[in-house]
Amino acid sequence: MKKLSIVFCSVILLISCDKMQTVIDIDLPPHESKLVVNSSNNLASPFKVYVSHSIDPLSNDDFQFYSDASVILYQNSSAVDTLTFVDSSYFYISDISPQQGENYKFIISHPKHNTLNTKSLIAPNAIEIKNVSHTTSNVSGGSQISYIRFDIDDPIESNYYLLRLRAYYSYNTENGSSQVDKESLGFDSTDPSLTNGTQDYDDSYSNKILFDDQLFNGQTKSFELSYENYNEFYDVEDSKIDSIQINLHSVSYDYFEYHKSRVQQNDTQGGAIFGSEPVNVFNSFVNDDGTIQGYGLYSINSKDTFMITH
Amino acid sequence: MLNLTNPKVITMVKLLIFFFSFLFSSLIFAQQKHTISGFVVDKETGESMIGVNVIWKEKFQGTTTNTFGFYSLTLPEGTVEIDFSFIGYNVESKTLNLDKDLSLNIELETSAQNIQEVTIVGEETVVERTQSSIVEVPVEQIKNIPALLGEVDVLKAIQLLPGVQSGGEGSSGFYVRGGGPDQNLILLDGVPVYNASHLFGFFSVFNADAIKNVRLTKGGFPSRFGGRLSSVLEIDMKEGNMKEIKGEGSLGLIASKLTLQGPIIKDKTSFIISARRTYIDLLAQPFVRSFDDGSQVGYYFYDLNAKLNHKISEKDRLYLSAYSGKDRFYVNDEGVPDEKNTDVDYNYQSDFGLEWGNLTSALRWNHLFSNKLFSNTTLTYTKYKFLTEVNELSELSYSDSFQKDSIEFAYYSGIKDIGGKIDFDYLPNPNHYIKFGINYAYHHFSPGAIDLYQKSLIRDSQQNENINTTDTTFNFSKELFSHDSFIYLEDDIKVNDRLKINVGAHFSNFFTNGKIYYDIQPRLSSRYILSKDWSIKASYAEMQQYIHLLSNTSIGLPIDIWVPSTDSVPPQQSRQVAFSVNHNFKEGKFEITAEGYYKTMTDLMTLSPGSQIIGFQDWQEKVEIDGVGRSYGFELFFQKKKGKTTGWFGYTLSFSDRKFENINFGKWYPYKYDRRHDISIVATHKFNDNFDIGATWVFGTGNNITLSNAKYPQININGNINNNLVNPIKEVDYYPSRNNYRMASYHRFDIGLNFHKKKKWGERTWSIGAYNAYNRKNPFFIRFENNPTLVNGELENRRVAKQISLFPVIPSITYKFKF
Repeated sequence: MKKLSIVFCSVILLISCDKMQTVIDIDLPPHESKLVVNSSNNLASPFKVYVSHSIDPLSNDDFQFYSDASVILYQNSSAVDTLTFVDSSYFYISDISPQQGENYKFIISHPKHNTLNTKSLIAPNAIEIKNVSHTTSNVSGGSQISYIRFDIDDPIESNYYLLRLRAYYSYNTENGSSQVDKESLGFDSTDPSLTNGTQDYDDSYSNKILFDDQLFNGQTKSFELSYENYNEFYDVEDSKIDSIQINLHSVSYDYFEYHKSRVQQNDTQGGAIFGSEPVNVFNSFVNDDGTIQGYGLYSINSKDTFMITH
Repeated sequence: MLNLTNPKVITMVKLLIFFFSFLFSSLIFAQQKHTISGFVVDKETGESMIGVNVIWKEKFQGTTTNTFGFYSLTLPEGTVEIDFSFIGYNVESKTLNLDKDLSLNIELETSAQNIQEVTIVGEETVVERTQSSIVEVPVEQIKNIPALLGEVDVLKAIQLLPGVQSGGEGSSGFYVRGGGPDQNLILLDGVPVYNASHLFGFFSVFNADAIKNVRLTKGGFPSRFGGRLSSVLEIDMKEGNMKEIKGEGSLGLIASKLTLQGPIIKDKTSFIISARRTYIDLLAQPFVRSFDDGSQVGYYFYDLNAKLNHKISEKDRLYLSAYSGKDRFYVNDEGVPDEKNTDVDYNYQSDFGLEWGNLTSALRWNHLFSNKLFSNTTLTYTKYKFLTEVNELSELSYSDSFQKDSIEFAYYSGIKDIGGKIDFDYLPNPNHYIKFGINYAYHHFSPGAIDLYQKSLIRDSQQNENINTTDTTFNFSKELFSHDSFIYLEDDIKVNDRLKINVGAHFSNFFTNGKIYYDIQPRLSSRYILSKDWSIKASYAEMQQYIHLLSNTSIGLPIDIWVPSTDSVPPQQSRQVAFSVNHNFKEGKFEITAEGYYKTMTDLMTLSPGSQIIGFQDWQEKVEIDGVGRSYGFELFFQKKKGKTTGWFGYTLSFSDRKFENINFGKWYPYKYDRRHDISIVATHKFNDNFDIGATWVFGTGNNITLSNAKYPQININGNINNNLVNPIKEVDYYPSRNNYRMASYHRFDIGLNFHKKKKWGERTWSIGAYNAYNRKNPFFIRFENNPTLVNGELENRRVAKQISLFPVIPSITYKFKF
């Protein structure tokens, strides 16, 4: 019995060193490729549309951007432009820029897919940044904290915003000449509207907050932002911040939901070990009956800026 | 105020009228009767015995002992013969001349005939019992079931019963009839346990050596239970040996246990104390230290159970029980001074700790008001806390300057209850067993907060000091306090020799932040005996749940947060009907139960997709409410209860779905643990006094998982798609529906061999076993990833689906001893 037990244990110990990952066949319904349209536009910038198609999640193929699609822009129900493909950038570009109060939509067709109609969007009004103030105070360790305060008048309907700061800084190059550059600037706030907002840490320009007006709908809203003043901005020797630009984008519902859910999907990737549920990214191309025309985002946003001189 | 036009209230009033008129008539027409009452205890240990049959032989009428071993039987005047029986014990027969009320305490002796056998269930047979959907598993049986790493686990034994499912591989979480893990009320000596798992769910907190009895109710809930939708798991701790000092313990691969019990005053006061601790951290310490000078990394958990039991008088008895358990993961680090730079003196110390644990305690007082009225008064305290701590201290001396920085950071969440209850058992005659009582609990919810303390001291060369201090607390969600109470009344009525019904009502009330919820829940169970060995049963129960568990994972992690119903989050509700056919044969050696059930759930709550438990947002803003669920199925339970070979076969066919407005496009979707087929076979065989063997085989349809069926390029927040070497295209995965893919089936065979030997000092047992003995690679989850594959001699990065499994075959060896 003793020998039997030893053999039994040895065999079990040997097998227990087995690798516990197995490549398996997944029996999912075959993938049906659909048009993917991504068009995120800003007032006064030409319309831009990426056209590609979805692929099977287990496909080894790279994403392909169509250059032979027909992308027609409609303004107030009239076709006003056929966008042209830009080889180097993979998108279609228009000669027309969205204008405030006008109504725009696209019809996109490609021989391999059903034609996709976007919804009609009215370019929104920019929300004005008002009553801006800027102060600086010294803190321990010799560093400085600067505070920016400003107000906005939030319209009564649901509104969605993207807020970011941009620093313009100057420095001397090796040959002694003065150089001016700009960079996104990280900031802090204890405002619940902002702390409950969405930050995209994956994005290389991550110092932005996407938020809504649930806590101040229809009111005058005051914001306070703070940032740390460094002597050497972004490790550039002898650099100094000359000015700060506040950018407040008024973004569409689709834009807000797309990026919020996109960040959530990115954040929940890899959570499978603990069983957390994946998140679907918002899709602008779902019909009222729930059928999917295609995938992607169509939005028109506006922006107000304010420059603070240091 | 009660709405008297409410159909539910009208039904309740009708039921109460029926109940009282029946009770009244049976009392009016009663002939001269006397009551025999007392306690039944184990002769060897003095432990009170639960569920002992007390039968008046002439009419085959009787009762069973309650949780404290108390019985009361009122019979007509004259000579009566009473049998006290419990499987595995000699029948104790008493012939009594009943001309007045009698007090009769009984000691039952283990049957010599059954010493060779293992017995499973001792109380009234499944055919006789009124209540359906209830299962008891004796701890001795649980100890014979092979276990992961040899650690005997009560909750994993429960998972082997029909209608009960395990969560993931190795998880001690359980899911009853399509309900969630927070819908199970786990009571340790009557005190709720809020997190019943160690090591992220791989082991349960219950130390089998300290436990006397385990009872699971899945449906047909008597009215004394409330507060959860799906099940009540009652775990009774041992009381301590009243006769002599006894001990038992074990040395296993990951943990050791020691239990001591015995009399403080013989036959009057006893104690039991039981402790368990893992020692992975202690064993691994020398190896971990060698990786990095001075740093320590470790993990351990421990449990401590203790109980005092004191007989004040024949009518009064006092129990004081407590449980404390904790898991702790820690990393301690110390900075190393730079020996080359003697001008600078630098010290650094960092401690990181992650810990969670429960503390429960109960003070119980049994009092006999009369031989027909028994009461149990309980005061309870329970606490669950999760804590993450980071403490850092650094000191820097340079020339005449000095700088000292310290940071103390702590994140914590938890729940704390203080409560009291009084339960009465009233047995007016053999046709009624009435229970009534009142229960109150004060909940203190801490849904997540951060304490931050920061201190910086700088002393320059002129000895000027600059001190900065930050001391603040961030409450992500404010602390909440709730008053939770209920009263209940139930009667187990013997209508005639064939029909018994258990009818009752549970009236609950919950108050948080100015919001009051109340509800009346009718309960009804009935049993009809078709013949001596056959019966049918039916039950209906409504349940309401006022506290909820927020979980990202649904597998039960320590960070999960308990929260109350508030004005914006209503209580969850369920209604369940069940019907069963029960049969025993071969003189009770075999029992078989076939049961069907249908359960609906409303106002279910879950975290919104993408929301995280820990975050600055108040939890009420990140939950989906108004969810509905439905669950139905069929269970078959076949047991062999006596003989050298004992065990059971369980089969469950079940369906469980959920629907939330903002999940899965508002459509119904299968619950994650919607498991179509579930089979468990458990067998133990005793060859002789020195050798026995236990084996289990389980099979379950695979769990559901959500997989994407399309991917496409994502646009960044600036409106561009990155497509270069530095920033390649990122993709969006599209999920057509929640839980759209069913993973491969789960099956596993475990075996354990026990070698016993009598010693002068007692008995020792060597247990060897294998978990997942045929090394089945059971699916834990599936992910898509790039897999380097050789194609035509070239390495290609192929996209594949990979199934991750957790446990291969795992051998175990344990040394156990008893004295």
